[in-house]
Amino acid sequence: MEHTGGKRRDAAANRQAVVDTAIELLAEDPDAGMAEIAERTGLGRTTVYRHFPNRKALFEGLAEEVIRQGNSEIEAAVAQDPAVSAVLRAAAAMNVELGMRYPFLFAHQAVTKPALQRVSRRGGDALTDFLAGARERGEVRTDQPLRWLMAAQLAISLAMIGDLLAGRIGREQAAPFLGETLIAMMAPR
Amino acid sequence: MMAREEQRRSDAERNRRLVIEAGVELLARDPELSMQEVADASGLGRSTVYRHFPNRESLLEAVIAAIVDGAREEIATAVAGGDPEDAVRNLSAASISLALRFGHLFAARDGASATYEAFKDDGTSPARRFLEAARERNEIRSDLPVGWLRSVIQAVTFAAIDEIETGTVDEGTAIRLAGDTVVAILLPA
Repeated sequence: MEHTGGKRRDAAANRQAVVDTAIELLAEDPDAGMAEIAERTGLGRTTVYRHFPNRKALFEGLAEEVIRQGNSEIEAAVAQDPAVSAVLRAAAAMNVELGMRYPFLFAHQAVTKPALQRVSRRGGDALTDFLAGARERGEVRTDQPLRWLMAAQLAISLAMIGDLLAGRIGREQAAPFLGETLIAMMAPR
Repeated sequence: MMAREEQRRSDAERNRRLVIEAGVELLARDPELSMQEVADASGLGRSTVYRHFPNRESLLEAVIAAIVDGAREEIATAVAGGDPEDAVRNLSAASISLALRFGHLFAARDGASATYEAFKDDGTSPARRFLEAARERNEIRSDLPVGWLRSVIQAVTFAAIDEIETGTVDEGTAIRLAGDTVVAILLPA
């Protein structure tokens, strides 16, 4: 039994090492491939492919990591001020921050967008959970499904990161503009 | 003599138009446009097609220009009404409809950059002109820049396309959801 537990701990540690390395490498080069990630991890290709058999699986692992990092910020924001507008302003700032820290999120949005959506729908995404509750209390518009609200907010947040990276919007304006945009789209009708 | 010359010229114009129309229709379905396919679809011979367009590149350029002209016309028509909410909703619906027909041209390797360059906002696009004029009239919110509002419309369009393509909602529902979202963001609170 002890042996299995150790193995499992190793596997979890290896998996995390792959995720951390992938994030690091993709920050340097958004086009880095599976082979390069395996090489940089130093775990061998077999181990890497056991955890992430393909790019899609890897990006899902990265999406989980990004959402996990965002969760603590959303939880802190809710604890500080649970008003929808306050939480959405915090979420906007967080999305901008995550987008700048992890440029592969925008560069590979054809892959990262569905990955982020799949992960957040599986549960464990603090923003989705908060908005679901707020929607039930009538503090978020109820005439649209939560799934659409989340899909649209993700697309709009990625668009802001794109405008920011392209220099169309300044760093100081990005979070407030995105915040007001999300507040307007979520407001009860 | 004159009559024959005029006849010849109008035949040439008609043929050129037929070739371009066939090209637009084919390109909407398959980005790998070939001269032979266009010749077949236009009902004209290969030699006629080549007389107007010496190579695939020149044909592709003319077809993309025609698509862009058509798109601008559709957008201009969509925003022509007097009511700002209708205009914003129609603008959103028109961009979804255009993206459904021509969106893959952006993804296709061949001709993608030309399409993108052609569609890129050059400051004279009917959508931008409409948004700027509507903002002058205080019909849309003035605390967010027009460039960002265009990015929002684009992001919501892509979110709607995703929902249609994954079979989450039908086209009519996606158009309604996107319209509601864009109206909520663009119109003053």
